[in-house]
Amino acid sequence: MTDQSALRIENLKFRYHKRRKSEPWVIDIPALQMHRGDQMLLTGGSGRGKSTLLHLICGLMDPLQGETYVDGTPIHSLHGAQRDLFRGKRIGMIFQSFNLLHGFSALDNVMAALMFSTIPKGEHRKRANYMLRHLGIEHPRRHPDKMSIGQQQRVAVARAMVCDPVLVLADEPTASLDPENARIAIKLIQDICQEKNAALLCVSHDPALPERFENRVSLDELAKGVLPVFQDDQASPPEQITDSIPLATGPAKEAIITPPPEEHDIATDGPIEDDAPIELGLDGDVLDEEAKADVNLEVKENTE
Amino acid sequence: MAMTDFKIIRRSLFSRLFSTIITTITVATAVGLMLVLLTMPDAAESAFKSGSGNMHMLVSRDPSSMQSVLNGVFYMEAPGNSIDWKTYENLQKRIRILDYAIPIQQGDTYRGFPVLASTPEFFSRFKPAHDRDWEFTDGQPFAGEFEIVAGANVASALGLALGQELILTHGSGVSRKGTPDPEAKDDDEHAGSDHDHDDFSYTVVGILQRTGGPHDRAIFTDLNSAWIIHAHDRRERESSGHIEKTTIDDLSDDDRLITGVYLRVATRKGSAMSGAQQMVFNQLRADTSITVADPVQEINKMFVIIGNIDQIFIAMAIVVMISSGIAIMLALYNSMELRRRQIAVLRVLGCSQSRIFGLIVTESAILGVAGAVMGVALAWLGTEAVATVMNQKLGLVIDATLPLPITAIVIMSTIGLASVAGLVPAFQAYRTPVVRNLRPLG
Repeated sequence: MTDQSALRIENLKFRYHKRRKSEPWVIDIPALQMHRGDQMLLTGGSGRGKSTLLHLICGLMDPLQGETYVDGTPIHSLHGAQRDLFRGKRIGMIFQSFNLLHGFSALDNVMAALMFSTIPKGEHRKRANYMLRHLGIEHPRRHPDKMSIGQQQRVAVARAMVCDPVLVLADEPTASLDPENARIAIKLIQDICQEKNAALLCVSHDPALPERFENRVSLDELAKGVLPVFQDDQASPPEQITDSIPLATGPAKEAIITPPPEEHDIATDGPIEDDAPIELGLDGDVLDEEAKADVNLEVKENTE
Repeated sequence: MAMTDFKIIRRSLFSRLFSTIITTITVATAVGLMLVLLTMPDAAESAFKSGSGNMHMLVSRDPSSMQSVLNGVFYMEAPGNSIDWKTYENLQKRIRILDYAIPIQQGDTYRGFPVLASTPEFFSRFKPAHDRDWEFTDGQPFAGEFEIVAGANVASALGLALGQELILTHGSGVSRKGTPDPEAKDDDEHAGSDHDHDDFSYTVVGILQRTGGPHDRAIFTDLNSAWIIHAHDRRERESSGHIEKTTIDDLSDDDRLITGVYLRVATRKGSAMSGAQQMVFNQLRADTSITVADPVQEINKMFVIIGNIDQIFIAMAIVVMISSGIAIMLALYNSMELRRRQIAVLRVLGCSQSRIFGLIVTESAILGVAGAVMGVALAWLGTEAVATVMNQKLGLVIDATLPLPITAIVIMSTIGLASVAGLVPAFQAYRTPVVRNLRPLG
């Protein structure tokens, strides 16, 4: 049977000191599965291994036991450049400190993610421009250093999403933001993941976040075999997960996987106006010719 | 433009612009120095050796053989002592196996360019190079009195043309007079050693093609004219009143002076050397009143000395080159600390370790390329400067073109060295721990 899940974890175990067998596992997850469009919040106190789990999932760290399947591919069986390329193409990562490339424009930052994809070079600029504008960045050529924290977060989100990943890993995405910006940012991430039909695994200890996620689980619960139940799981439970594993608390919500039309502006949660925000920046700046050309092209495509 | 490796490298180089400029200048200095030192000695030696043409010996009264060659062939300065005509005639009578013995007289100049007075044999028997006759761009050799043939460099530098009239200057003083102007006479012009020969104007009858030797920056005239203008000076000094213009009939034996003799021993047809050369050389050396020099031997002696110094300079250039490689390595190594996060982010985005390694090595190589290009430009300026100075001081016409094979080797070596210098920081970048460098700052 073909593995259709965005993320599947099987018996994943990790501790920092490989040879200290007396040490408890930092990560010990018997099973976890997420399909495209699923969204889950992973909670847990600081230093409990939430970020480590994300690094294991994306293949930046290797487990001592078990395997992680992303889009059906066992990521730890890939080696070197193969694994890096796979990560670039299938996984989008959003960090607490955004980790934008210093000295590069927002557009360059987003295009940096496309550098390592199989998307033709000729499309990079258009695609990155569209993604940034879609997320409310009116001046893609502006350097993130000159943007507000909220805008920097949007650039980071655009970079994570531009390659159409199957899985988005968000590591404390709201930790650097004030409550209002945090609310906007998490909504933005959730909406874009839904629009792109990507699974979202968010780790956070932000007390405001659980209310935003229907599915939430702590690392301790995962270790005990507690699993969140997504709509898809109920429809078609994976063969590897046994019936004996208890379900996560909280009601499962039917995932809405209907991407909004392209004109939908995810940043303002409304339709993209055809005229005003495209020709002029937020401060009324006239966009440069190249940016205009890109936008005009996009508008033309949309109208077609 | 899409984001590319080159854009990342360019951004990195520009983000530490000062360091990039200093490193590039260091590399450029090393490359420039290396190229000049590898190129100039050969070019200079070639120019020196070709300068003596087909003569075998040079007779003069200079204090040393080396000075004799530098003055008599390379126009370094006017010879201080003269040879009288009788000595020259005796020399011709004594040595019977000479192909030629061409008398020369130096001492006058025209706007700083040396004048060599000789006989028509200078153009018919003496050759500027073993395998090359004199060739004229315009006109012909001098045939009579007060006719001038201009070397290629003089003609182009001063814009001389056939039929133009010139007034020569006695000594090395620079005459600014391009055309005769008998009324413009300084009161004390004959009191010092340098003065214009205002009473006699010369006409340009020939312009030589470039030979690549010292004669390109000389002006040639006939010996009689040189004797006449100096005899006129003598007569002016001796008389208190106005004198008639001096002619050849007014010359005394004391006026018939020369400063050197170009000698060539008879050889078999087509042969550049003669077995009798050494014998003639020894025979002439027996006369202690004259200095006999073998130009090729003197030039060889000079380049043995220069060659030793040259090797020291090349060793120094190699040290500078290695230092520039170390400078590249340090510049990149120091930048790594600030770039760890960038590298970690690129890795997360899908960049492989080997591509990161390649980025750093390429960045290092680009510094090498920039340094090499700037270095070639510096070397070009350097060789032009050296050639100009040598031309002005020694009359040598050095080919300042950088030889392509040497230039290519130096450029490739520089890029290779720069790439090697990038290996250490590249390895450091390769091993950058990704997870640790993704953590929030502070």
